[in-house]
Amino acid sequence: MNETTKVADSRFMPEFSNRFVYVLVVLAGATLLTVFTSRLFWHELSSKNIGAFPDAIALRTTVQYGIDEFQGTELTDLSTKAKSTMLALIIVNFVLAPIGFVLAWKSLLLDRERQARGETGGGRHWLRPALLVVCGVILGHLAIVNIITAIILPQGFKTMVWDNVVDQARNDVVADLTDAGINAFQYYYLPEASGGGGQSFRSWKNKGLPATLEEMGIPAKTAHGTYTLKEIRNDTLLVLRGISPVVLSIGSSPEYEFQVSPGTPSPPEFRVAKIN
Amino acid sequence: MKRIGEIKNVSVDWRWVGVGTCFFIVMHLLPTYILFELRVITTLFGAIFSVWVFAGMAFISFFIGWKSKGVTIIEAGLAAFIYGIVLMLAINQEWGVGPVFPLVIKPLGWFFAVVVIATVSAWFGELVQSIKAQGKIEDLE
Repeated sequence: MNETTKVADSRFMPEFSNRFVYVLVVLAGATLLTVFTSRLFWHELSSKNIGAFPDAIALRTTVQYGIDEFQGTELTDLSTKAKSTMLALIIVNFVLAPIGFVLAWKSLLLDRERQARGETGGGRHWLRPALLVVCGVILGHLAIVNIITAIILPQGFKTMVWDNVVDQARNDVVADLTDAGINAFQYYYLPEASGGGGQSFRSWKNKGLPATLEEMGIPAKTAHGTYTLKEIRNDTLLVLRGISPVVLSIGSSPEYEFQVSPGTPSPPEFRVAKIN
Repeated sequence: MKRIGEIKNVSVDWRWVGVGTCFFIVMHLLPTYILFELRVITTLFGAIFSVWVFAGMAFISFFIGWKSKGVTIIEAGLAAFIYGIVLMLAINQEWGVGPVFPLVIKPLGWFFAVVVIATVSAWFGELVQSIKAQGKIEDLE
């Protein structure tokens, strides 16, 4: 009975065990550290944004270097100060904090054993719990951040792959439309006797009617998209429309218009307009 | 037996204020942050997000009132006030998403609402605790 009372008295709060309060405080600290440093990671990489995510920043920088090198673009280099900050934070987060946590934990256990034997320990009893809380906050924050990152990253990679697919589809449609535009341009200048429009986008077979895609040597469908003749205006403008078979997340497909203006006597003009 | 209407000497148990704030942070800020990072919460802005904030705070305040051995109504209000500052800073300064409540309710109204909701919820928690302690919970069921 006396022992029970003694245990209850040693609690910081009568409603909860000390361990529960410790875990609660550590989790709260880790949450605050995570929430108030998260923008340092999620915003653009710069020397100011190293923050508390050095491992993720290092990973991101490495991936960025790889992409830059692959694309042949200029490498985005970090300053020496940023690199040293990153290294210091990696040492704190992944070396000092775990070691400090384990040492403080062991030390507390030894203290308890000493107390159980009736021996008195040295001074500074607050130091070990404080170290345990600080190291626990750092480790807890790392756990929260890395769990969230592990959930987000696959989605991010999927988005990146899909973005590449869409970009490729767009480039293919524009390339096909450019080829089609050049064919239409050639048709415009070719004499009627040679199967052209004779400075016109009208059909050489059916006089008075607009030329068809087939007559201009433009395929109506390729592996990259479907192409239609949208408009022929006064023999000075031809508008082609191309739609990719790829369906975007909004439900529509990448769609472009390609304008051909032969421009006699002014120079010819080609214009690409994005519709979707 | 403790009765809520008979509080004479109002004293604040600062341990419960601290632990209550930690409860708010762990049980509300952490899920909010995770939902925000997982891009779930961006679709919840507006009335649903406000319900998420206020209902969450009411639930935690109720828990504080119900779980504590003493009367912790003021403690819940103070913890909610501190958490209100934390949440506002987190949303306005860090996440920068322009939440609805500072725009609609304005900061003064926000803190007033937070404290009132927390206090009333904690009072309900104390009420349930008191009824349970008096063995009247069976009568209610």
